Amino acid sequence: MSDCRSIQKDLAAYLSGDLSGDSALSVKEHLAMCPKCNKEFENIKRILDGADSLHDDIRKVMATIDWDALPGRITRAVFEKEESVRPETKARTFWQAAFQPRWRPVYAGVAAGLVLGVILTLVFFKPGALRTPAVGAKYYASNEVIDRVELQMAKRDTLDYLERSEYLILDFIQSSPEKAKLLQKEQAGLKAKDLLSKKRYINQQLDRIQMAKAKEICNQIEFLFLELSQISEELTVDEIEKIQKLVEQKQLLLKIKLLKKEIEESEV
Amino acid sequence: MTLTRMYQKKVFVLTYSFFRNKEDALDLVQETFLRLYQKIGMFEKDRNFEGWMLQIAKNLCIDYYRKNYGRRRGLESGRTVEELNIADARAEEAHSASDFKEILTRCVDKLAERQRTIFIMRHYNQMKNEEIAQVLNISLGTVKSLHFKAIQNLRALMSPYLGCEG
Repeated sequence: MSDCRSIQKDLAAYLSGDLSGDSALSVKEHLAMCPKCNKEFENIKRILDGADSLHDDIRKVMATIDWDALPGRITRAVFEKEESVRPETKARTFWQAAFQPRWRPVYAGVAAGLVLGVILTLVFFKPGALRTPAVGAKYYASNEVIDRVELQMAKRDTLDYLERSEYLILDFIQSSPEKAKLLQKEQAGLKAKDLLSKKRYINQQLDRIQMAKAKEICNQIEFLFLELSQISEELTVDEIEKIQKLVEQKQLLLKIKLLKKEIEESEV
Repeated sequence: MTLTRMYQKKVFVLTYSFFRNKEDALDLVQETFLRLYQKIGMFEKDRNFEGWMLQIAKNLCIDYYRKNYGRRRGLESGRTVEELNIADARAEEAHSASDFKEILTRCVDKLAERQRTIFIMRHYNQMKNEEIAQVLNISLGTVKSLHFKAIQNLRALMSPYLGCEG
């Protein structure tokens, strides 16, 4: 028959109940009058019935299983597996978290910082940068950076010394000789002594920064303070007046001011 | 525990259908629930839970089958399906229903993987086409088409035994 092939194609669907009403009806009608297709129908039915009967076999096997015990067995297996996996999982989780892609820029930054730090350390503290102390030298700077810091400190110390000296001298010369005598007794003497000890330190700094003019002025100040600190009660008012005039003659205050300005503006 | 009680038989039917060996099937049931508990956080709410669970079981069955089963089954009998068919056909004896089932199951084993899975789900598990489509994540048309091809191939494989031209 002309449509046997198409009918045979539909037999599996027909047996599975997947054909629509009209198609199923035409297959049914054809089977009733075609022995060849009917035989094929029987063969396929036998296969499908055989397959479906396997389901019954499964039911029989299932009847032999203790289904109440199985959940317990599965639960135990779940816990056993979790116990065996847990330590490794924890370790893995930590490392996985530590090496997540989103942390990579941070690690890269830290690594770059370390490399830069090492390079800078090598550049600044390379053997050649260290200055070997000269035999007999009073002091030495370890490298250029420390040199610069020390000079900056010397500059600041000198300015401080000059400023304090300025105030003290100003107090001394602006007071009347009687008052100046009283002043030097109470305060100026102490201040002068303090500044003299400071001067000993400043001397080194001035040598260091090679400021001959500054050293000369500071020496004059030192001399004055030496005088002031050694003023005794026996020193007459006249003598004090004489020292005041000397300070004015030497224009010590003006010199101090100029020196201060010069130090402040200088690039040490 | 409750989850296991609810679905253990359904999973067993699938795993047993693949292997027709009780112990292997039970091991696969256990493995399915282990995997299920591990992956439970990945379950999407709008998905069919049973379908998802059977999909896990099916995947495990296929992996296990690929690793162990195809070769073992051949070794158990020592005879290929073709040899069985020819021997049976030549014997011209009335075959028992158990012989027919044995040949049929071996022919099912010879089907392509997707055809075999769909045939097993449809006939051994008695699942509907819609359910199979959901579990395998394929269209209904594909399920019907693969089922049809599976029957055609089985028909061809079993033709010597059925005693007529395919």
